[in-house]
Amino acid sequence: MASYLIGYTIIGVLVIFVVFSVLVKKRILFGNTVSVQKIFGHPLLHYSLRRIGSSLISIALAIIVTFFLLRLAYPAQATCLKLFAGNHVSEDLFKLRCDTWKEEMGFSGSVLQQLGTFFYNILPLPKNICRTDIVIGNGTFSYEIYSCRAFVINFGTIYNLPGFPDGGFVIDYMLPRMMTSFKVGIIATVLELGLGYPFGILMARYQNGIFDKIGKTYIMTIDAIPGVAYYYIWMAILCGLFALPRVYDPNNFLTWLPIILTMGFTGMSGIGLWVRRYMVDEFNADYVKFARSKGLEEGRIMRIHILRNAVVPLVRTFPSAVIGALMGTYYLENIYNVDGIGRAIIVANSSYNSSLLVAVIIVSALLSVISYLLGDIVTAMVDPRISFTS
Amino acid sequence: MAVKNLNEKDVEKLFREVNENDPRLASSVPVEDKIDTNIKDLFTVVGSSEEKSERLDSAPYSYWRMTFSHLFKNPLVIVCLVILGILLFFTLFGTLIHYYPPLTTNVEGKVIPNPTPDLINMTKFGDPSNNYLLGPNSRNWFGVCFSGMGAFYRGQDMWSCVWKGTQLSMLLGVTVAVIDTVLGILIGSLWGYFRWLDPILIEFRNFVNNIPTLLLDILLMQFFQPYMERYGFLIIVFLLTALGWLGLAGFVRNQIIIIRNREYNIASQTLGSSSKAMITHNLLPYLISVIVTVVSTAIPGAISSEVGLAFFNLSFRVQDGDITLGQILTKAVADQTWMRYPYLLIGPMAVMAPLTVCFFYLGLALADATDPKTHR
Repeated sequence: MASYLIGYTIIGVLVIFVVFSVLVKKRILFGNTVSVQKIFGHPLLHYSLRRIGSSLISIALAIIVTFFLLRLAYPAQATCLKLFAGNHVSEDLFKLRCDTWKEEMGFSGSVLQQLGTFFYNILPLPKNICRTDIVIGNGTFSYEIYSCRAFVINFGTIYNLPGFPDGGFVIDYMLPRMMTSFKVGIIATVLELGLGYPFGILMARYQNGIFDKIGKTYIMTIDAIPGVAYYYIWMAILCGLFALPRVYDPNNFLTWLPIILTMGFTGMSGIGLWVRRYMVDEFNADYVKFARSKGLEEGRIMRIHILRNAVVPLVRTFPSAVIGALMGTYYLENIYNVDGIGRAIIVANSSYNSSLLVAVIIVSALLSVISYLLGDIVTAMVDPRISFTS
Repeated sequence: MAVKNLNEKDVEKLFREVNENDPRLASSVPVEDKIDTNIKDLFTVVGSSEEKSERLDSAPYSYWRMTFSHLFKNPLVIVCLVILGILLFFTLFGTLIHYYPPLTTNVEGKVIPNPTPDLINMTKFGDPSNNYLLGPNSRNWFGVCFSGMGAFYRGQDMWSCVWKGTQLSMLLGVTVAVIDTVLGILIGSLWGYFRWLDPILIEFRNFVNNIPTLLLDILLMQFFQPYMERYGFLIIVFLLTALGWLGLAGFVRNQIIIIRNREYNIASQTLGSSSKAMITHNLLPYLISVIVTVVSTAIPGAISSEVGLAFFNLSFRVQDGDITLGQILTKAVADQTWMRYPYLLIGPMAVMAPLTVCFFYLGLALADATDPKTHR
């Protein structure tokens, strides 16, 4: 009960906050109070609200389409057969388990009812979810509710997944794996940025020199060769030549290295390309030519003028790089056998857990919305020329 | 002060002094006489010609000739073209030169359902007890596919598999690139030109971006699985083009929005050009270098996408007799055996890497060459 109260209070406060700030912005409330206008009528706040609002619509659309695709690709009865029809399951027990599962996953009722349940489950309304199981007694079956938990978003439960208890909650599956992916991904992101920036700066500084040519060739090669093939080349170099371990082990940092280095060297090329492009643009800008003709020394032009301006468009990518690390990578996690979130789509598909698929879509969509929004906000903070008014 | 006190007489005197002291003028003929005598020899009257005055006498300029001369000045382009030529030659004729028909296929390229043992032995190499692991030799130039690649591949000649795979990969790459480009340019130019389309397509793009492509491919493949045997090629083309055009369309849209409001376009519109004429005569020619680049990088892009699909077993099914480069590559490196027998990776990679890199480089070089700014 307490969780409901807290949940609905938070939602209520958020709704009131949004309505209040919109009213303040329209100058219906506190139209003349400068301090209130400054906080609740801040352009950045309203820009964020608008962005979140419009992207929630496209997320909702994506979810509806996914819902129908999943209902078509995973028909309830067929999925049930694949999940529960083992060798030693009697007809009655199978039917009972299937019905329980359908109830639990929102497969009961008409399609519209199902869609309603589906949306109720993923809308951030507090709800209490109990997972039920069937206990086999002396010739009779009985339901047993063996744990209840308060959820804000209910992604459902997972069955038939190797290494995960039957009837476990999706969120329990996802969170630790997101952490696994994040730990590896964030180090790789730092490496990408740490290598990519100097790489791009050097290429721009000695434009058309030998370093620039080598760098451009490297970037082009990475763009051209298929990702999978390219990852295997790195595997051959790192694990064959430098004898790094080939299978990931969460407790041994040495086994993380091939993944981190592969991601770092791959991601570096993209960052380097953009850094170079922006820097070259700035090199040819009028204000730089002016500074140079006035006799400002080259190092100072670089530090004070070019780098500061060239970094602005790149700052936008920081939040998405960091948040993107939460969703892992498809290929590398498969190649190095990392039990991360990047593999979840494949694992979910091969074990017929559509609930996990939905969860991955929703989480990745929400994260991408947040990262784009943060990217805009960070850009506005770094660049004084950008304002969100009008 | 001295200057102020000079009167006209003083100035004249001053000039005379200067002239007299100038050695160049001291013993010369008066200048006027010289001009008068020579002026008639220097010029002849030719009259006026209406035709000649209308003609523009600038250096002859042909856009495509400049493009190609610019392109072939780059030695790397020649190297890439030679490599691509060799690869294309082997793709088309490699199976005629040195070929052990892989997968015991029949004439139509489909797998024979129950091949006789003789037929199987005719095309199997390597030692079954050693998982068919056999490195490159005089007969199997790329080695032999080992048993880890699955029942259909094991013991097959890698060289034959690779070139058969390249045939399908190339065909797929070109088809997908053509469809993507046509759709992308068509939709992209409409998207950029008609403002009312913009919000609709932007929402569509946001919506698509919210669904992971991999998941979409998985779900679509579940529907199409029963039809793979008959319509395999069409299905894979559909999978790759279903959303492939969106990136290009967005790109064209951005370019068109940038140039849409330039003066020459506003002038053209004011003079009453139709929308069709605006797009085909004013906007698209301006984007030709962009479009050429995109087309040529779309081919390696499609080949790469197929490798991605093959990695997740979403590509062609080998039991239907369809081999692609992506399948061979991902199958060959599926377990760790290739670390001890690198020929498994080197064979397919020796074709895949030059193919994609050369196409890609050619695309970038074409982009430079087709840009009129570089022609001066």
